[in-house]
Amino acid sequence: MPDPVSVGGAKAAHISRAREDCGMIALRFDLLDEEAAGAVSKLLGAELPERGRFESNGEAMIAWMAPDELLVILPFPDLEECLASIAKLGREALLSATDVSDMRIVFEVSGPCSRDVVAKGSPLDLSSGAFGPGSFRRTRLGQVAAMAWMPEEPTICIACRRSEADYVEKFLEVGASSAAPGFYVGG
Amino acid sequence: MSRRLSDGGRLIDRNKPIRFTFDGKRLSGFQGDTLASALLANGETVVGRSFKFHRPRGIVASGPEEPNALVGLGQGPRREPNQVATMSELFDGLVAESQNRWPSLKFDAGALSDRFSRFLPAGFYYKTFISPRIAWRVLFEPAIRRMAGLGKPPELPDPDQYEHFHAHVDILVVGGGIAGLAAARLAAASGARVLVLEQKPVWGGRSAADGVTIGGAPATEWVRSTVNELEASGAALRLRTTALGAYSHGYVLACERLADHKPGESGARQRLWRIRASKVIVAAGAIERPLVCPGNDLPGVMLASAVRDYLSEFGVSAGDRIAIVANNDDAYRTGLALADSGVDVPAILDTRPSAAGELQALAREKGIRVLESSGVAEILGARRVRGIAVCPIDGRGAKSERISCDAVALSGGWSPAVHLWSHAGGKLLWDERSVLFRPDTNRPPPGDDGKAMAYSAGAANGVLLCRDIASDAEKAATAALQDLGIEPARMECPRVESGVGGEAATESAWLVPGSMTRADRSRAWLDFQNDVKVSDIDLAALEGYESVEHAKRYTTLGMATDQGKLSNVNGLAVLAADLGAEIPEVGTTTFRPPYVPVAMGAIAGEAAGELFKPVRKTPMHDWHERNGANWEPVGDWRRPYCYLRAGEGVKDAVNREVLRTRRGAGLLDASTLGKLLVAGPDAGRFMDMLYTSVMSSLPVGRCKYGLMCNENGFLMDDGVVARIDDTTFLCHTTTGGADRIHAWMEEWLQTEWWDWRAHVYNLTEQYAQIGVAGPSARSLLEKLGGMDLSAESFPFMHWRDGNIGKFKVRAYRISFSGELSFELAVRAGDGLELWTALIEAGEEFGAVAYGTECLHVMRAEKGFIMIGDETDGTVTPRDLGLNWAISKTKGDFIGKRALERPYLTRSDRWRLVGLELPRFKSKDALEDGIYLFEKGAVNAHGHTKMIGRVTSTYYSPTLERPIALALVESGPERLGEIVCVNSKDRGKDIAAKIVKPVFLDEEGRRQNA
Repeated sequence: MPDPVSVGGAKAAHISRAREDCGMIALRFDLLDEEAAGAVSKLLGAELPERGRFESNGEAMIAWMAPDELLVILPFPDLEECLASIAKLGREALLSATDVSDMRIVFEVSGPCSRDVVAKGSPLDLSSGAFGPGSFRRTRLGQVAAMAWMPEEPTICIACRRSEADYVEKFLEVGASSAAPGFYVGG
Repeated sequence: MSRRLSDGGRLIDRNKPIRFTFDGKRLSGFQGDTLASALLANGETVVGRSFKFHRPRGIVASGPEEPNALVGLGQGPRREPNQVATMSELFDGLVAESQNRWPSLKFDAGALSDRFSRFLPAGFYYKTFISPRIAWRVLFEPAIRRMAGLGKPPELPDPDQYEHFHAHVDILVVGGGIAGLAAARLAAASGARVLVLEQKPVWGGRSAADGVTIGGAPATEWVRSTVNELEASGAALRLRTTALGAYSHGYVLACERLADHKPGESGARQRLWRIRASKVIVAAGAIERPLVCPGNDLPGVMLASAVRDYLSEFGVSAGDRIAIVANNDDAYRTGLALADSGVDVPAILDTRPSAAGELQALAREKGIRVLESSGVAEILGARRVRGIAVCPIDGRGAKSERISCDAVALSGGWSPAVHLWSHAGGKLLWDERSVLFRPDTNRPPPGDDGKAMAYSAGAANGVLLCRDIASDAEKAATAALQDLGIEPARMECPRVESGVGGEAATESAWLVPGSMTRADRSRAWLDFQNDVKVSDIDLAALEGYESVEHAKRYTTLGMATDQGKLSNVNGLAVLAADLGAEIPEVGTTTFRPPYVPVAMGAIAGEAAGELFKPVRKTPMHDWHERNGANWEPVGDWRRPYCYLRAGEGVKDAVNREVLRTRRGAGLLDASTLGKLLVAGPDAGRFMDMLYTSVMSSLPVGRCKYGLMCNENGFLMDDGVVARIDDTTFLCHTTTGGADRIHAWMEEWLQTEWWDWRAHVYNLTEQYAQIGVAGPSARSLLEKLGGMDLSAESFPFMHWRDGNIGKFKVRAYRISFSGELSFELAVRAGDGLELWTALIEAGEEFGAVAYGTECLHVMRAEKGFIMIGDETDGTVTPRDLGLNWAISKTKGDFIGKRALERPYLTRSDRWRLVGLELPRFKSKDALEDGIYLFEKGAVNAHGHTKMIGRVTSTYYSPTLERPIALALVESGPERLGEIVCVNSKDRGKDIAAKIVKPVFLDEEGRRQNA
């Protein structure tokens, strides 16, 4: 499990940088191709996610990125083996599986005001009816692209480009250090 | 004189006095006051000066429509100009200053311009442009600039914090009066997600000041219980939050004032709400219009509703004797309230022929004189109101009587606040019966589904009688809910009563008196802030500015900070009369956001200081920072331009880095270069279309330099392509090109070749990339060991996966410096560790870290082109001597057809050459971008004929002389010729010899070593 490292005396929420020990694989194929989808689902031991969602097999999480893209997030030690077994599926249906573990940094925003803090920078609908455990979105935070998902209530994970991590960290810290608007509190 | 009464004032707490200053004068008010109510309580009737004529101005209104009471608020870095006193809550220690006056509010030198006002008519400003022409620059512009303007902009950085907040709701209700709360109550009870915004610090709108009862009890009780009910149901409610604009798709901006009334408090001062609402209910109320009569701009003249507000909410009377002039019944409530509070009301002048309704009877009962068919010939006084001269409403203003008073309450009817409705495209109707523009509910702002996006409720919908307001609001909420597919809950509609059975209709009285004389028309104000009078509109109409939009701009009517909230309808009615047109034919000007001025800080939100702009950092960024990096912005990245050592100048550092790399080894952080993965069965086909050369035949394990053109044949990016496997290519792009070329590839794949089985993935950030260049590069890497780097097994333009030390790397044998060079790609998380390992290993070889300038010098010594230096969007590969990279065999590629156009194949195009230059004593380079010419040659116009321009220019420490690359007409055919460059730095023409664009190691022995 990631070991959260506190980065600020947050009031409205707790911001932590998830340790860089998760592996990520970008899978590109036509998600409507039932044969390929079935093979990937079987290999990963999980259902494939609907749009805007992620699924989990306990170890790995599989997120919907685009109509032709999934993102697998798994423990880093399992990465090589997973890539190797995907490679065996062959190229006809599966366009590519690429190790993208290092290109993003993941932050955790935790505490009852997590939604309010993220909503200071992201145009997502973060109400519990629209965004809850299992939700996964590609969005923005302030001026940069980001992904947001909710592993469990009320923690929100934010992933951004590695090069923009300092900006995102500062943005979340500033957002968490002033009072939460109290709009999304309680979902 | 205006003063605080001994009792009354619903919103103030008389046990909590508050001290503040106005123009240095120590004054006091109470908790709950606005700055405006506190100023009135202290008898401050003159609070500012007008924009053009510097006439004294007093408080007119009690809300955001206030045109006059604009002050500079706060001190030092927190001083903010043009703050509206009616919306500023009083706090202890508040410091306010009046504006637009010199030397003082009492005596203003600029007020002289008032004497000459007939020389400053509408459009005088434009006329000053015309003749004599010199006068504008030397006379008018300096004078106008000194005279015009309101508050001074703050000079210090804003110390406050601001933030944005994104909210999604089913129904946004703008306005927290009876209409807004009634609509919100129904929407929330029906299960919709509701957000209610109220601009003031209290709920209930005008209901308390108007003496409304609901269900038999004072309205405040219903307001309190409804707010509690809404909160309990989960609806979000925000006070002090003004909706600024409504846009397409239910996007609404609103500004919440969190700490304006408690400056210095930690956290954000203001919050900009960025709301996505499925439906918007506009219940923003209505704004009273003043009557247009001579002298109506004197301090002491107020809106009738504002007089009532100050009395009811703050216990402040606008004067000791207050006359009322109105064309409607509502203003009688002001008279009744004043009389109830013991304030003398000498008369109510009603412009209507008959004043015999219930309210009139009540007024007469209180002993107030009611004069029918009457108007004011003039409001008397110089710096403040002394009285009014009564006249018949019809006629030219024959004075029948003089009534002394020290304040006048005017009411010319009400205008619904249709701003938000109109912002997003809702249309208006002219309602002749109520004398107002109201939302045309048949033509609402459309949403993306073609249905209404906004609904109008209550006074904002033109429903002015309180008994109809709640039912109108519920009607709007029901429509919104039904359009959303939500079943409206069944609720009992609150019974709202005004205390009188009926009201007579408002009757228009656009000018008072009705046939105003010419002299009076230039003393009857429409726009108080911008000094626009009836005569100005007359002149605009006369000079042909017939469109209301033109008349507005010509006269500046409604162009002040209040955006004509009080003046627009009166102005367009005058224009209509001037043109002999009906009011709806003239129409309104366009309503544009923001509804009220908004601080720049709120718009910027968090984007200030460290968060102003994200800076992209490579994994080695902190190392560079610690080791003297002199930063250069490259795209959104920061890259070291050079690394400064103690005592070193920038030029010294660059020269050192070049020489040490050429003689030993240098390390470059190349992580910012774009790395785009193109994969899939059709990847080769796709690559052949993108690049000018054939990429599909590139063997696995090999690299190739490639060029990309746009459809017009102009070079847009370059870089090395590596063939990873049968179906996979890795394309390196320039740093600035990574995102752009990624988007370019996606565009072709998604719009043109959507059926090709290929895709692109931007892997730029997955890898840290380190260039190791120089004669010792191989030895340096071999010291760490791990892979065979010999020239035989790992030749130039190949790549290998392997290990360097303990690091898993992909090594590319490519060179941008002309040296023996390897680029190592390692997972980004390991980048810093590999970098420091290489720095340590390099010590014995004298290796240095080098920056972008060293890179540029080295590539220029080799004549390698740089996108953005040698190219500018008008340069083809052929211009740069890169014909060899353009395939002649491929059927097609992007730019192929364009490259064959005669204009692009002409031999006299400016093409790339090198320039051999004399050594300058200063060891400097020639200036960049300067033009080349032939001595004595002229063009068809007799001007010096330019034959080219310098595209790259450096001092080469390797060659110990300046070098330059240039694009020259028929350049490669003129080798050996001498041309001139005009060097401003040296103040003379310099002779340059045209040479091949390569200054070092033409055979490539170094890189192939």
